Amino acid sequence: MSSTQEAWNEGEGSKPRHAGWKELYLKEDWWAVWLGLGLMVLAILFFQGGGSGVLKALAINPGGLKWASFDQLTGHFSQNASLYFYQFVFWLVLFGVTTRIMGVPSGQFIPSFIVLYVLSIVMFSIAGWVNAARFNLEAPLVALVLGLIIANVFPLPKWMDSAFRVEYYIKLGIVLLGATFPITLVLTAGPVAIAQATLISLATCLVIYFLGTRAFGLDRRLCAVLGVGGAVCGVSASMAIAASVNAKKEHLYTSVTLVVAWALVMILVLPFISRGMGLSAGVAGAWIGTSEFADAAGFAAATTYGHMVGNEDAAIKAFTLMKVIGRDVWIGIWSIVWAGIATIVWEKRETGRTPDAREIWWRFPKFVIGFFAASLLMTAFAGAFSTAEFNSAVRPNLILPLVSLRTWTFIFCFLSIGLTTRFRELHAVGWKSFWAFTIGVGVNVVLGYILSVLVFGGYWSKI
Amino acid sequence: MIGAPAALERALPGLNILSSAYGSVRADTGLCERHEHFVTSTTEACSAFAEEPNIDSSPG
Repeated sequence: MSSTQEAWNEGEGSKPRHAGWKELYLKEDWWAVWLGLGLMVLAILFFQGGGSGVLKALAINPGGLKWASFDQLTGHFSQNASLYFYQFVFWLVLFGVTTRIMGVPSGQFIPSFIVLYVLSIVMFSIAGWVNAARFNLEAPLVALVLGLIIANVFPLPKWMDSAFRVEYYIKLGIVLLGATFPITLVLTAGPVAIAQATLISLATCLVIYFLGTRAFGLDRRLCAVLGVGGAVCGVSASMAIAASVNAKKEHLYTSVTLVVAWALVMILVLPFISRGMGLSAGVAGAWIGTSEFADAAGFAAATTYGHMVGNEDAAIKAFTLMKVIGRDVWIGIWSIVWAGIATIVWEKRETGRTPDAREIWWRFPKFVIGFFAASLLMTAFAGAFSTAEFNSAVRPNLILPLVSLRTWTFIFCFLSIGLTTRFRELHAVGWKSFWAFTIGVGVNVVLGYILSVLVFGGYWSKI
Repeated sequence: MIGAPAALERALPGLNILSSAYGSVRADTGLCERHEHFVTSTTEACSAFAEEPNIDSSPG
């Protein structure tokens, strides 16, 4: 047994054991915090020491090249070959070492990551084509579609998933996003986002639960798992609630299939509908934030729309406020509420557990702490500069390289979504489950539109 | 009982598409193989559990 497996020590015994302090090095949320804040502090030190060139070199990508001929593109790569090599080694070491500590075998991670990095270069190159926007070749969409084709046409071995860590990449990206997110915006917009997200989450969850149990006669544990999956944060939320209500394996399978299917549909559809309606980037970002289930899928949709309308920043910021701050952070509370319902309203025999307030912390998505810390730290640092100094020095030499590093993690994530989605692995679901969830999704999307566009539209458009 | 993240992702194909067994939200959720339902450290221990000799819980 490896030392990491001994550290996890969760695979033996009659019930799981809580990781305690070991979480700090065994959970990807904490690694996203350490890496994100570490990169940010390093970037500030480089900036202070006049060594911003190092950071810019590590953040290089051909996405902004606007190349018109292959000669131009190949010229860029031959001119910067050494930088790309150093960058590859940088990411490989960063993710290779940390995933190894978490228990992912390096022998599987390294070859898989090489494939991921090469595909990412291809994605950036496509996005950097001068005519990319004219053909809707937005990097997230192309990455998703290419990944789906590869995963479903070519039988990639399962071990290659070792480096296709969708959640790890998006969590690090969110912490890095915090470095470009003024804390004042979090404080002023946060309450609106929380209010809007709470209304929609409650409505969606209750619609799925009551439709499922009353109209379709489905198992109430399945309906709880589906309801929270649709209302909060997809499969992760479903798994948290599955533990609260003692749900069965097949219940989570149903949630995985429905969440993945609808999340993919919404990545491909919501940006185009938003453009058809002429929504501003902020409004569309808020709408996507209320409608998408998973962070990774939502960021793909919001980034795509931001590219489409030339305002990625606003789309991503509104999405983050709505999804990460408005919805994700409350999963622990949802867990104990459902554990309470299962214990008090249902029979305890059915659940075998009692609500435990410690779950609010245990299930808290810790990467959000990194997001807030990065936002606070950068706001304090940037506050020491005048607007002119910020625009002429801080923005090009500190903020933009951090944005580029974040873009890399997002591309790794978007490609990984496609590369891990093997349709043959998804289990068939019953029509009753399908309709209960789908009607809930419909309510979510319509209510999200009403609140994001009609009620708070003026607010979100100013983000 | 499956609790190690790699084993959990193997036992639940598709879990890693838009989620992760390595994340904080999962906390200590594990899967009871005998009854195929989810359990946590605060769940009552499975009455049917019995130690098996020479269990190999390493991944792969």
